[in-house]
Amino acid sequence: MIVRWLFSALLISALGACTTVPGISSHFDEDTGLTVVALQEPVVLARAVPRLATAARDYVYLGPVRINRMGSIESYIWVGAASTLDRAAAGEAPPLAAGLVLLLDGVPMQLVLEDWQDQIAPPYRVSAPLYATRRARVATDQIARIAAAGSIQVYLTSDAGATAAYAPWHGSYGSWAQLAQDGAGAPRRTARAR
Amino acid sequence: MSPRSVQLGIGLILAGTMGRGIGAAERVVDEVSVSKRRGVATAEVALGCGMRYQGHRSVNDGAELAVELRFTPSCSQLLQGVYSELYIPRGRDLGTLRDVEFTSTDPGRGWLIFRFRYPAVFDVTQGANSGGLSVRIRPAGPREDQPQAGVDRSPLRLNPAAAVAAPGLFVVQLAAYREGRPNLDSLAAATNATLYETDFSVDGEQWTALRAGFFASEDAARGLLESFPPDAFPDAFVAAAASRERDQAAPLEPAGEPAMAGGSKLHPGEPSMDPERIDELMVEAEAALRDQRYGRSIQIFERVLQEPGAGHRRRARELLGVARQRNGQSAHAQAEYQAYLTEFPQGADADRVRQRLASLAAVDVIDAAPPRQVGTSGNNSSWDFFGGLAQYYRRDVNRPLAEQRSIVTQSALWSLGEFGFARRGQRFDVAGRLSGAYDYDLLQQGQARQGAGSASYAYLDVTDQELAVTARVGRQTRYRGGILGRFDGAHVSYDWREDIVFNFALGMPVDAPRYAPSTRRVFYGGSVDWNDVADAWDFSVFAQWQQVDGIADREALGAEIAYRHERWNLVGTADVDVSYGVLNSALLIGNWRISDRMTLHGRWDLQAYPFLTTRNALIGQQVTTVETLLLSYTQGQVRRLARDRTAQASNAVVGLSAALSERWQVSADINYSEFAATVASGGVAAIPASKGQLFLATSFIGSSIFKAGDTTIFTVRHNATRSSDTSTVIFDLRYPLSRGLRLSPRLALSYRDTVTGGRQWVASPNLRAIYRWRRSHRVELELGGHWSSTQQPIDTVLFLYGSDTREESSGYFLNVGYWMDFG
Repeated sequence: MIVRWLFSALLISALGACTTVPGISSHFDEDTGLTVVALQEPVVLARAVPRLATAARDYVYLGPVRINRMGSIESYIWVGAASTLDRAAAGEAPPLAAGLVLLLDGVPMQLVLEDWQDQIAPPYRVSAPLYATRRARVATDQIARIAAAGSIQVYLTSDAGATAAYAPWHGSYGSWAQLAQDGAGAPRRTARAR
Repeated sequence: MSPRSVQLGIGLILAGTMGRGIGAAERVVDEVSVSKRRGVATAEVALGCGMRYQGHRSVNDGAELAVELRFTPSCSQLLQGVYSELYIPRGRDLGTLRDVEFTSTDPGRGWLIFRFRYPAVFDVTQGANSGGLSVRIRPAGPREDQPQAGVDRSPLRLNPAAAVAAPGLFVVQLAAYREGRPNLDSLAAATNATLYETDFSVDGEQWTALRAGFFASEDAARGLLESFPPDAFPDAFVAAAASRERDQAAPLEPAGEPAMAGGSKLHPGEPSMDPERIDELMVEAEAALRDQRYGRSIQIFERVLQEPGAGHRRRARELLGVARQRNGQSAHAQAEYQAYLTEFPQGADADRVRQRLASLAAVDVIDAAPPRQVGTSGNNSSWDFFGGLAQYYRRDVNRPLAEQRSIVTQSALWSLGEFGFARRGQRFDVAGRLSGAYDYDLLQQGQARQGAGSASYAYLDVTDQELAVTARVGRQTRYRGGILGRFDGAHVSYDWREDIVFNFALGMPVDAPRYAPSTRRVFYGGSVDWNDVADAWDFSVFAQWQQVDGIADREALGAEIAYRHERWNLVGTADVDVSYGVLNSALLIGNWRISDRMTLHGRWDLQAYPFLTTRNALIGQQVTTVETLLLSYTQGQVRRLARDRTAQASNAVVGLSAALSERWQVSADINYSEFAATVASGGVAAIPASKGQLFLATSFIGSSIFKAGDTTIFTVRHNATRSSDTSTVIFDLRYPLSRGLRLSPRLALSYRDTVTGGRQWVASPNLRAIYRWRRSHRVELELGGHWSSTQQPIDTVLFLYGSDTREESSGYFLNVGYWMDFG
């Protein structure tokens, strides 16, 4: 009986719920049947807009995500847009953007953003209040390039081509290499690893 | 004359020197006026109370300038809690300045936010007088993403219809470049891929990416990448691609030209395309222009222009100029327009191109507002009118002692009006401003009820662009070049060179707006500004002479030096009265931005207190004019009295601001000040030295703690002076209740311990509600009160025995009103 219970528990933990290996979290979404693999923490970037308070800023959270849809694997960069500013008083909208541009050691990588699917829970927890979540589909090679870059500058771009620069606030891109290695064909450290 | 009354007199004179305080219906930003000479606009900001410039930063890619200010003690008393106001400056078009917003969410400090139509770079300077500062606005240089006529500059928004990366679509990005496409010879082997370019803008720079696609899997794309020699494309990588990118990719031939149907070698004069193909390309190029893919539209227009035939060339040549202009390539655009006029000198289109060329030649980036479309609105005037109207009712009720009845100490209606105009001409710019107020005292009954009018500004401003001379005549305010604030008179400046400006001023100082012009005091002086020395230094020297009732009031020589660096800046000023041989003011301010999260600032000043002028002799006297005083004293004695009434004050501040997390920031200041003693003379008692006074303040500032967009501030202060120690705890909140409504509750609790053994508790709750709409209309309601309990030890109170005495007092105030701006 105990052996059966332990086996069941092991099976459940392997197939569903939240499972983790160091630096990586894997979540099986029962509603959608997707397995979402992400890192433990996103990279945080900030943009000073001292219009309302010295402490108020716009934030962008970036994190790599891999979604396994019945064996079909797609890679994304999850983009969480947050702000502690009170823009409504000024009649303005927050700096949502159509695109994300990363300057990797001076070489631009242009990414097109789309809405994060609402039915999938955001893969990262953040501190500041999110007002939008986006994603950019990428190749694992792009994640690997980001992880290996010595310097990274981040810009949100509008359809009109205007850019808003964000400065590093917290976190590093080095850990992104873990997902890039997985996506590039290395043994996947997901739920199956447990 | 007691020391206390002398201090009161000093305070009154200081109030007159500093200008008015911030009443409920008055404004922090007294005036922002913009003038422009030789391509450099200068915004002069007059502040309603003293604030010290701490530093500035350019945000939003240079479209905004945030200037950090720290309140002087007088300003701290007037501006408490969360505060904000919007100012629409006169002559703003000169600097493409949209508006100026003052906000204060941190105790003791505020921000002036300048918003511009187009990006610029800024220099901010402040002299010895804390009542104003100046901002020089210079072109930021050509920007590829600078918007053109009709382009919306509203904050970025996601376009949900934007193409996104299509599942199973991959490309190889071979290279990205701003100019100079790499050699494509090595791509000859890539026969199974489509070579194409995509254009995009990053931080104002136009980039082109060379890509090869399209592949159904990342492995297939990687296969192509690995087929190239390792050093052929060192920055190449595999990327996910959008479906729209595949649809719009225009294949390149190895020579680098867009592949054209039937494309063969081109020979000038010989058509190589059929008309239908040219039409297709024109449609594509114009679509690219509309989509702001300027690089692509330029590429196609250039290709089309290789084809003979006037029909398409006429339009392609003009639009090529437009595309280059919008791409920030002004010189190329001018060349294209000139080429157009050479090829097609006649016709309505030629007139339009001439207008484009003229506007392009005349416009620099800072002045790049779209040219007025004559005839489009039926109004070709360049007059700009602006103004505002405000009314506030203020009521103060106090109960000095618990057993006494409440007394209405103030009941007044304040009305403020402002009107101004500005006109830009080919040679002359003209502007004017009239700003006045009327205070109606409702405490008096019947005919005794009366009001008082005042005029803050009443001037006419003329600029001759050709001579580079600007003159302003009338009631105005200025804080540089040794001028101490508001005066009636004239100020003339002449730009001898782009970096050297001569200023001359003549006038009569005005203590407060309620005073009429008076010839009792007259000054004249001049200054020379030398700016942008080695791109880091600004220098200014000045001399000024002032008389009061026929004798010397002030004879000043001074200098201002500012140095700026990417992460730190220093400002130093000195003002010496040579007739008294006294250093009236020496000031050194430094700011160091240690990182994006941490800023260190410091300030040291040595000042005559109050600012030494011969009129200081009136402090503590029964008479109100120097002329009257001269009936009792000789000129030398009067000047001696002035010197005796003036103390030497020194002050040093060190502070640190640091972000603790995404939501919390800490700010801490240590302020040490000391006043030297004054000398007894003329029947006025001496004031002893203050000894050292220490002020400590720490604030924790939270953002979006209870609701997104709110601001929460906890502040702890401790003041240690010769007579008492005071500790204060303050809670401030600005809560966004709806889009336009903000509630700002505030509670301050204070405990004071005097050297005589007395103790005092004070509680001051306050609630402010502001409703804004259309950015220029505001309704305000503020309710506040205070309760204090004071306990004195028995040995300090005569005739009472047995226990300490306790006194309680209370009061409340109401302030309600509206503010409307137009123009």
